[in-house]
Amino acid sequence: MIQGLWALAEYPLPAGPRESLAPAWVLLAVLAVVPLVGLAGLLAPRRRVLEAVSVAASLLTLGLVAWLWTLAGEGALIARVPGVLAQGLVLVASREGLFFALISAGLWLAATVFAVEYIGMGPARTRYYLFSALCLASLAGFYLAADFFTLFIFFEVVSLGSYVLVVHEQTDEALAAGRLYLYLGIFGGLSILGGLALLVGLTGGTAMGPAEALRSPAGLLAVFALCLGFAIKAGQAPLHFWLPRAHPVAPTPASALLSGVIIKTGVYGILRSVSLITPGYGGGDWGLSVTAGQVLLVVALTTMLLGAFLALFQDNAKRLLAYSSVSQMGYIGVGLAMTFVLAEEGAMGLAGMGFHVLNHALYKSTLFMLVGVIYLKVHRLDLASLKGAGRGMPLVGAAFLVATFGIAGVPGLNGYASKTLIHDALLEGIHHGMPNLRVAEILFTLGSMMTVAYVARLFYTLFLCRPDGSAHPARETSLERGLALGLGLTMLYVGLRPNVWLEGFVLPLVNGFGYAGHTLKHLHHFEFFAAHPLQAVLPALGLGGVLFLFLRRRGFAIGLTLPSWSVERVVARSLRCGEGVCRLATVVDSALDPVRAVPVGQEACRLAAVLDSSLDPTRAVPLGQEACRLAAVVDSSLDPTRAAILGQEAARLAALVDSSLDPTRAAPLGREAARLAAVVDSSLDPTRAVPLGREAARLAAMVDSSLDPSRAVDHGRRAVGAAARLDAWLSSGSFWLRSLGPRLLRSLAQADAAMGEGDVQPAGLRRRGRSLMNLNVASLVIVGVIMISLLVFVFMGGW
Amino acid sequence: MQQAFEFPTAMPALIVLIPMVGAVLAYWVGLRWESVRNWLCVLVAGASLVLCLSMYPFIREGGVVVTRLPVLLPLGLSFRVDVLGYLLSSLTAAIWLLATFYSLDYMKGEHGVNRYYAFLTLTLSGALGTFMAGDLFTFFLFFELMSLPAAVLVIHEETREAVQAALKYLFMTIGGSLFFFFSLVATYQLSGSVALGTKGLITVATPLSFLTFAGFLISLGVKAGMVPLHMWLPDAHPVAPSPASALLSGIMIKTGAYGMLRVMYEVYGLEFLQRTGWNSVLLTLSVITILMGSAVAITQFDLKRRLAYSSIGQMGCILLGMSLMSERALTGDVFHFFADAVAKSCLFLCAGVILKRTGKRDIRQFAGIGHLLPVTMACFTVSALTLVGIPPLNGFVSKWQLSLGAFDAGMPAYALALLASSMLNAAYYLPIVLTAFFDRSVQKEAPAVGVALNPIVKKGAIGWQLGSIEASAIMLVPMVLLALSCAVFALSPQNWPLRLAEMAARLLMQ
Repeated sequence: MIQGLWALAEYPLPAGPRESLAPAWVLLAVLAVVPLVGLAGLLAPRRRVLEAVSVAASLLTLGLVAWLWTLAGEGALIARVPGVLAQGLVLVASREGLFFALISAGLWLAATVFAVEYIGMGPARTRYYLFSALCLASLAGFYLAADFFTLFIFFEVVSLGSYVLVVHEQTDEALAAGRLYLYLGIFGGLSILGGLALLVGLTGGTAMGPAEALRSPAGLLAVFALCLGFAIKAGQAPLHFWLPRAHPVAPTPASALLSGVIIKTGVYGILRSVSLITPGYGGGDWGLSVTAGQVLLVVALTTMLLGAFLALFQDNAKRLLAYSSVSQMGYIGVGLAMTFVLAEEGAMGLAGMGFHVLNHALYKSTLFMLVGVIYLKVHRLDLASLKGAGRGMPLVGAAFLVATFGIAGVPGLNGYASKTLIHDALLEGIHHGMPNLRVAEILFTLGSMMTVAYVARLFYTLFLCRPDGSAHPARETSLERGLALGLGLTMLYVGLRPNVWLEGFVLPLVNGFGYAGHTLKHLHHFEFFAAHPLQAVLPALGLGGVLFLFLRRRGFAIGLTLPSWSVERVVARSLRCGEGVCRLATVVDSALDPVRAVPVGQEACRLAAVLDSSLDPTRAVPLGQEACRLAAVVDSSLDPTRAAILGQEAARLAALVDSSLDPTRAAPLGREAARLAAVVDSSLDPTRAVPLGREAARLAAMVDSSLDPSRAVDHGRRAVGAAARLDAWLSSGSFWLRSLGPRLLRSLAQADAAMGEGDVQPAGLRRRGRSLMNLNVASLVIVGVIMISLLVFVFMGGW
Repeated sequence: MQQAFEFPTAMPALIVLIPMVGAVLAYWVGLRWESVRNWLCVLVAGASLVLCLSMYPFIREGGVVVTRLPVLLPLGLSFRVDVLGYLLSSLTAAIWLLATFYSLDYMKGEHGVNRYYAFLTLTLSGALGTFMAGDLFTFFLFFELMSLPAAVLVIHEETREAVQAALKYLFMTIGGSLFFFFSLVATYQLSGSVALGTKGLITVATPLSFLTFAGFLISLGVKAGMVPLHMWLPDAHPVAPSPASALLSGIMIKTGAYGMLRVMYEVYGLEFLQRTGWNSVLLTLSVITILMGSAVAITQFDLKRRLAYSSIGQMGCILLGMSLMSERALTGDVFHFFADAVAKSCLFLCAGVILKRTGKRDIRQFAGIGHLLPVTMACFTVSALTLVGIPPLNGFVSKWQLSLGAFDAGMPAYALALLASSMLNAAYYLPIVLTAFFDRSVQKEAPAVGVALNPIVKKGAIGWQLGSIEASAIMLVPMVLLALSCAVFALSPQNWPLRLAEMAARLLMQ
């Protein structure tokens, strides 16, 4: 703490932020230039006006950003633009963001100048310059953002705008790589958006800077979502796979910008996101951010080694450089991770990261552009046909050598300086009680070794190999010379006087994050060319040279195929799954179509029609007629003359009953009763029950044997037969009408005839009369059955 | 709760009456003078827009414009325009004006133009009346007045598909109306009133009141294209003439969502739904609608069919927003009404130009049309990006507000549905744009394209000249205006629709 205060006194932190509209005006000016570029292309398509305006736009951006940089030295400038996009934008000109913005604008200028030659008068050049200007303007917005909302807006515009640069050539390869780039970009953007919404939910805003409310599982989720989105852009393993596809297919100036500038937005985003869970300098618990840093460290080391290893075996120059970018993003990632792992002393990691961002931007853009220069002459990118293609271009070769030595980390060149800082950050961690970092340090050296091998191969192939056959080396143009000279000298300057750049350019970035402490003091007087860092770099250089020689003998060929678990394939497979789900949804959707219900409705309507016709009253007419005829029969049977005869019979019956009531006739009855009583009495003799018991036992035996289940089978079979017959009988619904109706008629006719007979034969009247009554009951029953069966037919038969 | 000022004027009745009379007049005039009829229809839509906008002074004061007409007693017609109704009816009139203007050229030389214009204008009357209705009964009448003439627009082409689609549309609409009628009667039975603008007519949760809710949900869900009641939509929208599709997709299906909004917040009331949790029915259905609509859209290759399924997905977002029940979600929701209406109608208008100029409907054949129709495809791109939710466009604003609203409501998982919706939208919109602008596979085979290819380069001296087959100015103006409003409103510090949406959300949440 005391040390910190001391450091504060000696190197005062920038003063607090001031309100000023300068950043907003700068952004507006930069954005306003974009349509001018498009207009220039439209109005003067055949002239070089477009190029002039584009270069002027880059220059303007660089100038304005540099102006803001000087303004921000006095303290950050905050501009609020309320109302835009509902939330309102907040811009800040602070040295943290402007550090990146300056690098971006500077390289953009170089790449735009190179594009004048590379794109030339090719097709759709207006589109290229327009979207290039749009990306640059949005990048300025991105680095001027003061909150995550603003950051996200410009991040998305950069993502989409750079897509157009990637697919500029419009070949099938470019389109495929572009699709991957675009959709991963959108996925990353949505991940960030989700994180932002969570951030607002937890803290009520999207402000940058430490937030206490995020120290919760939900807060960590938010930070993770933000980091995921930015890590895709930063090409961190395992989400790096878009990068080696997209960078080679883009036109070379765009590749240089993608590798040198645009992927750095991801780094800046991660830096800002993880800073959310640091407690801020001078207090609080660093545990969370240290853990996050350790996770980042693992990811970064993986990225670094994977990229470098894969770069060794690439046969396409731009693909090699793209993998190299992956690997270099790993280095930057290590610096970033150490910023958080070292907690309060994170200044060393941050300075290393910032310095490496600068250096990587410089040498990777240079390498891409110089490979592009050679491509313009040879129109080939595969290393086999590029042998010695750079001979005859001395300045290009020299600049390429400077960049190669830079990336390899040769002392005296720029990559050495920043790698030394990152390496020192690792050592610092080891000294601060994290001995596990020793492993990281060894891996770091291993990565550097592979880096040396692959860049050595690239340089060797392009400039040292003897060309095969007749391919005669081309000359360099003056623009190329100027570009090579400018970039080469810048790199040399950075490499030879690293302290000047560290002090003047990188440390303001570190200060902006509020670091102090003894590491900062150490940084102010960092000795890059002391024995100790020089010793650290030598093994990497030496072993790298050995590796290069070894692999050269093998022809840099080992059969590499993607392992089945590679993320790229997992993504492709899950996309296929998604496609399947979509197709399934389509099937479900078409199954919901109400038109499918139409046939059912039609059947229902037809049924209703059948029902309807069966309700026709004319069908009841024959029934009514039968009923009337029946009524007539009943009526005739009610004839009173027939009642007279009935009355006589009744009188005779009454006389019989009367005479039977004579008490004298009861005597024989009593006698008979007495005899019956005697019989009953004798029958109560128990001995007589014996044969009965015997019979009962025999009966029981019979019942028992009849319970034998095997007999039930026969019964069952018979029942089934009966049921089948019944069924057949019932199913022939018309039977009821066809056979029963006539049978009824026949029986009624018989009854009628019998009635007629009765009239002439009164002697048989008594017998006939009884049968007639029976017939009436029977006919009523039959009519009832007919009615019921008709109903059954009507309601069941139609189904 | 502050009492809203009521301004009794006859303005809403006038606004509804003008297109109604205009429709009849247009048919009659159109029998003799075609161009007079065309401009009359434009004029009618324009007059409706001007009159709608003229209510702004009342609305700005937080007031409500009220009209009661003693016709169709005993209930009587009543209009009640609050800030929500104002925003949506102005939007309706504006988009109608643009689509009618677009029709001037698009419908030239088509058959049945007289019928088309008359019913287009009649439908406007219905749509405006629906948004300005003061009670459920009036809502119902105008809802029908809008839905039934729209069938004539659907059937316009008179092909077999058109007839089938129109029949399906008609039957599902009528089926939905029956449910609405049931719920209307039940609401009257339960509360003795069907007036809107109160905070909860139905206050007791009984089986009957739930049935009433379900009836509203079904009837309005049919119109809003809510899964599984959406099946008329992907058939009806593609077969209609493009300006009519734009209105069907941009405005008409919004009336269903609008009705749902009124039913949820004014018939039942916020507090009632929070107590009973009935909104979770709509919540579930809306997520299904989002995922289903977007997933199916990916598998469709007919441009207008894909747009129709996209409409279903977007309606899912709108329904989700209203059922989250938080103020920010509701702000985003109302703004999404606006954002989606503008962008979706622009997309359909662009689809009309593509169909008219190149005869292509299949997305896979779109290679190179970005060079043939540069302005059209630029408008298409902007609108598509809006619906994906790319900043800095309208759709991003609404999705951002909706996501925040999901957090406010304590249901952050629903924000994931919105993110998934954006990803899926990107998956089905961007390929169209990319094929149109970047795919060169067809250009080599078709030399005729060269005539229009990059004419800007060829006419160097003159400079600016559009492709020979680019749409005429009459068709371009509406598309460009709509595409511009996708960006302008979001970027402007004074986001006028968003402010109205905020006011509307506050009013509903009171």
